[in-house]
Order: sequence, then structure tokens, then C-alpha cells
Amino acid sequence: MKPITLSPAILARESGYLAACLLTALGANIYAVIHFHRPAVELFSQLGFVVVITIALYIYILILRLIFHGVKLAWSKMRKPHK
Amino acid sequence: MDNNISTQSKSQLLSESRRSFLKGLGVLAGTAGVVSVAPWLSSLTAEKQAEWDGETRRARIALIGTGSRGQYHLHNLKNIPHAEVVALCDIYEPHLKEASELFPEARLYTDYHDVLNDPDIDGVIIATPLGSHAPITLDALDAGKHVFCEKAMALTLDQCKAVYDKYLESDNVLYYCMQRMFDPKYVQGVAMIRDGLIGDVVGMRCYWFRNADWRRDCPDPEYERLINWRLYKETSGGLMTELASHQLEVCTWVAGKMPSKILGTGDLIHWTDDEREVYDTCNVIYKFSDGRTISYETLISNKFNGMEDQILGSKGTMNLATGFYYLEDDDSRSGIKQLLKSVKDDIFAVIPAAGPSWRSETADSYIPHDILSGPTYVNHGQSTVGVDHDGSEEILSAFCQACITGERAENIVEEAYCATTLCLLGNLAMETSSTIDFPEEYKIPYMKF
Repeated sequence: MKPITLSPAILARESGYLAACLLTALGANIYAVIHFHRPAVELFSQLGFVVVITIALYIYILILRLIFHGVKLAWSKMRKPHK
Repeated sequence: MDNNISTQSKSQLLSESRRSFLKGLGVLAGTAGVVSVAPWLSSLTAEKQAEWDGETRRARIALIGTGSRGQYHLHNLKNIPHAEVVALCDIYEPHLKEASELFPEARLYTDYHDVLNDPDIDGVIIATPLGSHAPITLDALDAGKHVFCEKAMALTLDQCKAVYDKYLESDNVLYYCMQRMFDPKYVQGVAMIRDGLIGDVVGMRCYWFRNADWRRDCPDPEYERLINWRLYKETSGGLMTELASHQLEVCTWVAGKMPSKILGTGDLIHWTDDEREVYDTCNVIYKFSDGRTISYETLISNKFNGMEDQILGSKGTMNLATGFYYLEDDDSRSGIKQLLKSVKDDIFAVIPAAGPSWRSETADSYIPHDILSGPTYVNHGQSTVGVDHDGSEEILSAFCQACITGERAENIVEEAYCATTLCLLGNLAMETSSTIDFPEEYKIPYMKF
């Protein structure tokens, strides 16, 4: 079996997606504390939820990306002329 | 027989018992709080404890009726340092023999009149079949004894009134074993309700479901109506007096008033293969003058729903039996959880075509909050004898103390009277299939309608 190599470019790209998910989850927590008038300590006490939301968002986006690339690949194969 | 115990040991035991009880009432730290919600608890306050310290006498107690419930009280009496069981009485010898094994030094009687004539007895505990509660209570009060009687008060409305009138004439102590009145989660829960935690009380829903025959083994057919007294109308008020009495007492305690109308239906639907007469299923509605209701259900052929005492408020629900309360708009959740819930509701709950007014009003998910800050003991309602930590020991202890001090507890008799009359009227409503107005002749000053 060939070893799977994650190039620096792939790592950087996935790290970017993960960072975006983390920022979104953190933003949601900050919004929730302000909107529902919760004590500021929840910015830290609910970090566990932030992590869970981050991972859930990342997986959700990953699935969407996989579907998108799958459709794109299938479409390009359909359009390639047969020799 | 030495009736005194060491002052220090008894005082310590009593202090621990009271501290444990009062500790469960976290919110009601002060005396005024406890007594305002439950006036009958005045003997358990710190002030009374201070008066009580140093007392060395013990109440000399006789048990009349040594069946399962009587023996349950004997087990509790073993834990009450200011009680001494000096006599046991029963017409059924096997029960008397069992009970005497718990208290071998107690004098044995087969006729309760002999107990009442015994000058060395301060108080009697009556744990006989319901049909004899009133006659024995009346005789005991006439004999100058303090009385602790099992619920319900009596088998008929006339008997209830006779006992109540006798109590007013007497100076003696009279308690009824309505143990929820001494159960910390009930006391605390009622206090929270009075504080407005669940908003306006808009209804009450109590039920008690079991799956058990109720028939006990009877070695000799001659004793059938004695052993299985619960099954016959001559000696029993059926499920209403045996089960509902506790729960109806809680409802009127919460409401602070009495229902004015009663309607219901009942029948014998499952346990039909013997000669029993009482219903095995009952559904009764008690309606207050302001339109609120107590909805009561009980049956003994399915235990899925167990036992609950639900007080329904505009802002929440207090389930006194389980020790939890629930809020309709619960802001105890963290902000992020509330955000996730609102996102979920926005996505999945709204029907786009018709708008929010068509949104289905099914029960939401609720967070259970503890009524008590300390340990909570829950009676699941399946035992036909009794459970620990349900207020039974506390009320018995208070009675034994009262036998020594002579101090009558406030409102215990009245609460028992209210509950029993409601049970008996519930039976009447079911039997006549009619709506009954609470009869004028059985109203007492304590009742508010």
C-alpha cells in the first residue's frame, strides 16, 4: 500500500478550514453570551461545546467538499472525449 | 421500667434527627419560613428544640393493630429515642406474635379497651383497618390518650365529623399519618410554589399506578374479611382512601382551599376473579370554585406511570413526588445551548406554509431541577407497606414528642379531615355517576372554598 503523504499545501489548506470553523464556533459562543445575557465566564466554561461545534462544522464542510469534488470529477469524466 | 435515658444521648439523637430534617429544607432556613408553609412543623424548629433539650422522659406508646403497617411503625419507633413501646394489641394472634418479636418486653393485649384502660400508656398508635379508625380514636380520646391514627380518618363522612367534633372537645393530641406533611421535599416544594417559582397554579394532576393484586394470603377463610379488609366496602374506602388521601391532602395544602365539586368514574376491570367489592380503577376530577381542577387517577393493574404529584403552574411544573421541578422557559441553560436549541427549532419546528400559530404545541424537553439541595428520597409508590424517608418517621417522632409535652400540632387533624372527606365524596361520585357539591353539613371552619 502506498503511503499517504499530506503535502504542506494540503495541511495548510485543512488547517485553514479548521481555523475558520473554530472562529465560527467561538463567534457563536460570544454571540450567545451577549444575546442571552449569560455570565461572561461562559466564554471559557463552554469551550468544550466550542470544540464540539468546531469539529461538527469541519466534518459538515468536509462532506460538502467531498460531494462537490465527487460531482466535479464525475462531470469532467463524462465530458472527456473517448479515444 | 426506667423511662428515662441519658439526657446527652437523647439530646444528641434528637438534634441529629432535626438537623437532618431541617437541612433538607434549604430555603426555609428560618423558623418563620417553615411554620408559614407547614404550621404542623412548629415542634421541629430550633426554638422548640431548645425547649426540648434536657427532657428525659419517654412517651409510653401502645400499638393497636400489628399488621404490616403497624410493624412498619414499630421499626420506625426503634429509631425514636423519646419513645418506648410498652404495649401491643391485635385480635389476630399471628400478627401479634410477629410484633412481639420486635418488642419482647411489651405487654400484649387482644382487646383495645384494655389498652385504653391501662394507665401506664401515654399514647396509642392505631394501625387497624379503616372501618375501626373512628371508633377506636373516639374511645381513645374519651380515655384521655393521645392518638396517632393511620390514614384515612374514617370510613364515612359522619364518622369524620364525629372525630373532628370530639377532637375539638378534647385536650389530647391527635395526629394522622399524612406523612407527606413531614416530607422535606414536599414542604420545600410548597414553599417554592408559594414563592411563585412556577407562576400561577393552573391545575394539579396526581396519579398512583400499581400492578398488584392487593389480596393478601389468608390461611383461614374465617379471617378473610380481617386480612383482606381493603377489598370490601364494609371496611375499606378502596383506592381513594388508601392511596388518594395522601395526594389529595397535598393538593389542598398547595391550593389553600377545597374543591367545591366532585365527579368521577370507577370500576372493577381486572381483578375480577374474587369476591372483592372496591374498584381497581378510579378517575376523579375535583373542581375548585375558580375553575382549576385536581385530576386524579389510580389503578392497580398497570404500573407504567408509577406515582406522581404534579402541580402545574403557568411558568413551570412542580413534581413533589419525584423531587424535581421544571420551568417552561428555562434560562438555566448556557447561552450556546440556548442558541443551538433556537437554531434547531427554527429549522425543524416551524411549518413554513402556515406560520408559527400552527406550530405544534407538544411538550418541550425540560431540565429537571432538584427541589432539595440535599439528598432526595423518592417513593415510587409500589410498596403496599411503606418506604423509608417519606416523612413517616418524622411525623411519628413529632407525635411521641407531643405525647410528652401535650402540645397539639396545628392543622394536622384539619388536613386529614379535608383529605378524607374528599376521598369519600370521590367514592360517592363514582358510585352515583353524578357531580357532587361539597355538602354543607360536612364543612368545617378550616375549609375555604
